[in-house]
Amino acid sequence: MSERMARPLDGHAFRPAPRIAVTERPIASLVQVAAFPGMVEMVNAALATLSLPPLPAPTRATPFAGGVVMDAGPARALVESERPLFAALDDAVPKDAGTVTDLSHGRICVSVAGPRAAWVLAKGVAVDLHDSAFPVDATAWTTLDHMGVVLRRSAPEAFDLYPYRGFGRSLAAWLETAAAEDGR
Amino acid sequence: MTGYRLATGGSGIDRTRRLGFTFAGRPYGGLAGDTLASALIANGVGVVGRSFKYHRPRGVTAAGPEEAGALVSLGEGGRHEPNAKAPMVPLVEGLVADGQNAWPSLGFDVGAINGLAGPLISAGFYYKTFIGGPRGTWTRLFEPVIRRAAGMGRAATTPDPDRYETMNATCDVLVIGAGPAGLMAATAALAAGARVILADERERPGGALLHDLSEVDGVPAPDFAAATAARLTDGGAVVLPRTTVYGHYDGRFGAVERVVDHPGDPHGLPRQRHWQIRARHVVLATGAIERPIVFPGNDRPGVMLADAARAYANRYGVAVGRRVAVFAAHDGAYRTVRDLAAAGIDVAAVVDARPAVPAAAASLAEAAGARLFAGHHVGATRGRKGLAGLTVAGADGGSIAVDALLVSGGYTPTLHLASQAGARPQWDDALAAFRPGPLPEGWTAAGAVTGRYATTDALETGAAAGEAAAAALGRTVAPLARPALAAADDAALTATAPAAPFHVAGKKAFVDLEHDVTSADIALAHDEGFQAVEHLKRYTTLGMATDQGKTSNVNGLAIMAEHLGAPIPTVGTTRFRPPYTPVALGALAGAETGAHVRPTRLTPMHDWHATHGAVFVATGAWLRPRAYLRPGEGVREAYIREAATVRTGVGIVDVSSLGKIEVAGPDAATLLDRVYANGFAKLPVGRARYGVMLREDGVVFDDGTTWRLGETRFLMTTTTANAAAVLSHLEVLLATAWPDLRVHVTSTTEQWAGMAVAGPLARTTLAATVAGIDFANEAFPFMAVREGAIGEVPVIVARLSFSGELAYEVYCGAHHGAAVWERIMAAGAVHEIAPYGVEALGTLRIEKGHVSGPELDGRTTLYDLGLERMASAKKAFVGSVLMRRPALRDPARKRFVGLVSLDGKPIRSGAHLVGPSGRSEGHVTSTTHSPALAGAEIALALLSGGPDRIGEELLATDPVRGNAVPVRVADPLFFDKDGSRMHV
Repeated sequence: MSERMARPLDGHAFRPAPRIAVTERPIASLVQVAAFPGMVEMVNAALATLSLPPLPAPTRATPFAGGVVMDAGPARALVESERPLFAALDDAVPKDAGTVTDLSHGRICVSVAGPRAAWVLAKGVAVDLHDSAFPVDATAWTTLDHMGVVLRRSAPEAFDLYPYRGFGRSLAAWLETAAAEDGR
Repeated sequence: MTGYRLATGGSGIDRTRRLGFTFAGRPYGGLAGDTLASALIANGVGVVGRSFKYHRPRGVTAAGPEEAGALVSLGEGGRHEPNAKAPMVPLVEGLVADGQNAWPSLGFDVGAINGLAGPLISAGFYYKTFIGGPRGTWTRLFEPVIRRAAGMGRAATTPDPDRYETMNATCDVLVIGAGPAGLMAATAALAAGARVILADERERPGGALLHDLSEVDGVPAPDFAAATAARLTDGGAVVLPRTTVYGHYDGRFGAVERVVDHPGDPHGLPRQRHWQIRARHVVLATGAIERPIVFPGNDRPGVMLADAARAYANRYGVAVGRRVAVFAAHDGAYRTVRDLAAAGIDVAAVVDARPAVPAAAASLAEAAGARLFAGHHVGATRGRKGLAGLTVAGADGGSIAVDALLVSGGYTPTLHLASQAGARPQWDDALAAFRPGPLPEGWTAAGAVTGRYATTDALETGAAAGEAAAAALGRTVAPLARPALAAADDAALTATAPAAPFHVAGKKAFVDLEHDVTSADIALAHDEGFQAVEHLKRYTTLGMATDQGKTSNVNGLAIMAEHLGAPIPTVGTTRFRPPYTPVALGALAGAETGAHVRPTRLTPMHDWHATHGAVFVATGAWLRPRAYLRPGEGVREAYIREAATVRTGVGIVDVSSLGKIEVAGPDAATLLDRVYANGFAKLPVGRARYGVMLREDGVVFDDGTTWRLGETRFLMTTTTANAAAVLSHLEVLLATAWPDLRVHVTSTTEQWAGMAVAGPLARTTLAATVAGIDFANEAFPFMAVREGAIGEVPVIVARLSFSGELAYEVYCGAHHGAAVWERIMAAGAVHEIAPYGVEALGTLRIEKGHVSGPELDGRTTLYDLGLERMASAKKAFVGSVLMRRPALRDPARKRFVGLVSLDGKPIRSGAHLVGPSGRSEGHVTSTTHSPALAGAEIALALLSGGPDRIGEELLATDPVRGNAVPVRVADPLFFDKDGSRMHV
């Protein structure tokens, strides 16, 4: 038995589009960490033992070496990392302080980068993506063409989209259509 | 009207670029920068359409979206578009256009006979004429006749080949209208650092500046507009020409951008883009629309709004006639007299309704060589298909030969969007118009929409509005230098009071040209009691549809006010509703058409299914294999074979789409115990339990198995359809009812690939490929959960059975799903393992009498489903109180039973069960052919008093599809009644 992993966009060649690059960035590890009411400090302490940043402020993300912690609702965050973190986090977070859930296979990450990235995403996302309202590391749980996505601005002209894996190909098709033109 | 191209002039056209187009099947030439209307006039085309009801010939009446005569059809085949307004259609090479409402031709229209029948088809004629006759007369005779005769163009009947898309935008200041006021407002707001969107419905920004011969800041007005717009774009503002902000919806604006709105391949660009704009502040700079005058024969081709004729001359270099007259009621119309005379057009007469014409205006008439008829009216027009002359009524009146009559009764501020947002217009006697009343918070009006019509005022109030908007947003504002307008008579020609709205009595005096509503129709509405403004509109169709009151509203109100002997403000005005101008359905649908109506959701094993003969069925967004067809098989043959394989050997089914929710935390068991009707508090680690949850009202909500993976971690499964609803249900309960519970619920549906391996050979198959699990019956009993591995992939295996056979569900990380599936297929090859789809899944569960979606229809209770004993009496749970209501335990309720076909024919799902009463006593919920029952046709049903009627014979009848099958009521547990097959 091989360790073969099959993501929905494996081998997918994204159609080239003007001034925008769409790629899949494989996720190695994605873990949800959630604190019970009044337990945020304890969960943050547990994160600190693994050299991870604390739960971010609402609608924000905090990058760290080899990953990023993204807001996922009140006292909740998603931790994406290059090294697998579920087991370590599950051990570190006291059971009466919060919960840890492995979502490494549940979502994929599609990166949209280039001068036209915000323009193309605005065709499907109702969030204000202007850099004054949605700066680097801003994070939103929103929908794009009826697909739920976690959206993070990863750089001034780049965004990471995290849809559920089952929607991966629909999202790719949508992005390719939306990116096909160069504005006006 | 005998229009022609002037030898010089035309700030908006390029005389070096000729374009070809066809209208009504004939080829014509135009120039780049023309609109379809200007090109038609330049070619001397007078009749461009026929009217809606009387089929009277109609020509171009305006130069903007208020056009009421030149409604045309564009494009061919799937790109055909009716009801386009010719002045709003930019001319492009190869444009194909046609007139409307005419057969066989615009010149000779059979429908014009309606004109003779005018008295019979006045306002409300539908309700009076087409009554009576035997049953069916309306649907079979009257309605088809009316539909064929009426019409505002024809819709395309083939799919639109073009693409449409949606755009979301947010800004600090949305400026609607890019005339002088809008341009200055946007400039001022941008200068203060605001994020600005400037939208304008025309081809290019500028509004009235585009046909003004004056200079602004030392450059021609159109050049000033272009330079200002370019500076805005360079400065970071979003400038959207060809974009109509058509509606206001709960604080958001809908706008349509015509990106590539012409025939031909758009090369990836959408034809139209629908914008949803959220703005913190709004500057309404929508300008004003010139008001026509109601007089007999005012619809004859050649009768046109005065400022439109000026626009055609100044912007397009087109003369609307060789010898023209002007019929006016205010000074602004004299700009047309001035400019047309300057263009070399013979202005024969100016008929002014005001007895005293101010000197500034009168001198322009004199300079133009026009005879001024002060205190006179136009009493009639003449001409066959176009204007040939008019009659001036009054002391010095008489007959004048002209081929164009340019009218102007005043201006009507364009208040549509403000009215949509709930701001009531206020009548201003001095202006003889409605102007904005109190505007919604965060709105400012500027320019002609405020009732100040001078260009200087527009530049000033626009800049002030932009500064006010920026200041309201907390921006530091440095006052903007106001541009200077060169025209000395600007203020003089726009400040003086116009005549109050009036009309000239007589026949065929049109108030609303689009709908053929005359002053006589309004008199009729008054006489018949439809006097309230909303009744007037509906009874006469005044201002409806594409007109939206732009030209007809005030004149209609004024006539009704006159009949009522009341002032206009007491008659009131209708509230405008979106859209301001017509919006194509394609623009509203955006990209969500055909296969893109909604996204699809694929399971991890989708590609395997697709390459192994699967036909798919949509379950919500999910695509699930319905059956796997082998050569020569249809779905029915395939599912019967698949179901039989599970009963005799081993099968595998993809259950990845089942909802999966991780319920984690010290109080997880407590939560489950409260939401499920049966007990979960004592479920040991490593065990699964089937649970049913109810709504608060005691009706069954959802069911599924929940597995205890650890002391504080459960994996709950839900039905595919209810996955999101169950998660919401739990989240609401945790947030509101039990915030003290330390539990988190998280959707893990997509984290896991799931597959059920079922059949007598399931154990042997899995034991051969799963490491780390002892599959012996004693070591791995029914409803146990174990962890193991297939190769290096960790798996969780639960011994559950939906089919009634020995069966296991295997879960693994979703990205490993395809590999694990293939590994199990390989292990089962020796047993001829077969994949099965949702049809066979249904067969197997129907044979076992397991309820599923069709039975859990939001109306059934545990009692109805024969599951009442599951409900714990030892604890409270959601629904436990209300499920015990006496009416929910009435034995006569529709309750769960099985059915067997008596004649061997399939029973239709949805068929009604009819007994001796002759009435429906229940319905069929699920049905199948059963290979396990020797090919019997069986079904599940909900039948009044069902369990008490076992053995009774009924008719399962489906009159819609013409099908009736005699059935016998049976125990729903058809197969393996003692359940021994899954306990081996």
